[in-house]
Amino acid sequence: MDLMEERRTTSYVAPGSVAEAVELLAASEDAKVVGGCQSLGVFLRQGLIEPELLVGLKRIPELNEMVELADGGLRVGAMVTQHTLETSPIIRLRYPALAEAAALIASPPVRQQGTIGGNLCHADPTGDPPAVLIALGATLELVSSAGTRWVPVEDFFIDYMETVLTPAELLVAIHLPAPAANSGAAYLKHRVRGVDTALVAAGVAVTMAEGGRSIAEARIGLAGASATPLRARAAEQVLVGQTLSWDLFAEAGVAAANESDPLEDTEGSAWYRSEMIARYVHRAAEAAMQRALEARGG
Amino acid sequence: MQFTHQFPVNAPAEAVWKFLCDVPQMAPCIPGASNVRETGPDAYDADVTAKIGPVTARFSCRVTIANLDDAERTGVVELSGKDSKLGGGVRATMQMRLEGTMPTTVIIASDVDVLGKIGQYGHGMISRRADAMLDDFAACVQAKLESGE
Repeated sequence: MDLMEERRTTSYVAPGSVAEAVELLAASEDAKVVGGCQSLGVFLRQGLIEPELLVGLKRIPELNEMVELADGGLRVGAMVTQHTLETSPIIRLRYPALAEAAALIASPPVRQQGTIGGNLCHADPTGDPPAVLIALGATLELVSSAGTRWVPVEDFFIDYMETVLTPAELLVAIHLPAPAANSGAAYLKHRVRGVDTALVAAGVAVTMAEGGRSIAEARIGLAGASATPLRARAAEQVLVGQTLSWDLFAEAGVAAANESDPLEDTEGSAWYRSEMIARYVHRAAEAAMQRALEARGG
Repeated sequence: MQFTHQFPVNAPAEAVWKFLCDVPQMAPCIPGASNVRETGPDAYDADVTAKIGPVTARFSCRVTIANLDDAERTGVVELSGKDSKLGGGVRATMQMRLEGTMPTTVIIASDVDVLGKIGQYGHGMISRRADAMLDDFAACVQAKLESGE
């Protein structure tokens, strides 16, 4: 009888190196990579997916490391947990928006286990890390047995919970560029309950022109604004080259709402999400600007 | 969830109607449909696969066609399917009608319920995916009838 339909057996392996992990992925027709098992775990428990093989990354030490790069940037291993991002002194000092975004993910037990790489590969359009990493200009390092490629985080997501990763490829690290002088970033999230994913959220980074009161560079990442995490390029263009004014950030918010195409569900209509995108971009841009001015000592 | 889709087909209304009512001929235009079997007069079984993100649902569907009115060119397709493995199902009522001829406008008003676990997961995406499926269906019907196949 069909209620008793046979379930497949899923095997689990925990390779000791990236090379071994990508070999296992290449050899399997139907493998899934497990980081902290916070997102995938839900799908497995509910029987929504039944992969033939789970490749666990817990035994690969380099994936847990954060390494400062010669150019002043930071390479964050894919298995670094949300809790580490939330509490790490170097993240809090150089990328406070990332620490704040990590602190808003689900609940403490989830942040203890959940990893930055796992979150990105899950590709939930309402997740927190993608939006803030888009604002920070992060690049992802993807490895397969054929070699390594680097993908800007905004190009990583191609459809609802789908990424550019091939089945034989592994996300190994996130590269954060050195924060520019005179720059600041902020992340603000709107949600129903504390443990929820975002109804909408906005990560904004701005760089002030040296000595002036105009904006030299802006980057905006959105959660809950489309079927994928979204880089709000039109809203960025509203800011770039402009002198600071009260109306400017509100205009950027409206531009971000206009370029969004939010999904609709029982927690929020597309209209409501668009309205909130305008407001959260506005506020996050103000907060980012405040930090940029503080960084400059003004 | 309720949606109304309409699309033009550059063919006579009679040919469009004949095509839509001929299930074995029309079924290949339904995205993800396979293994269509006739089980009785105007009744069919079919398998329909739909993918949202990492989750693929495989529905075993029972399809019946009711209230066919060849003169008015209206009819109702009732579909109920379940995926016993994932635990969930789909129920849909689609009212079809045609307007005009050369081009003929096909109008499909659907009332779709997605049930169980599948309905909980990714529900914001379901209506968007249903839209995309209808677009693919429209493109396929246009291609078949406008090329004179």
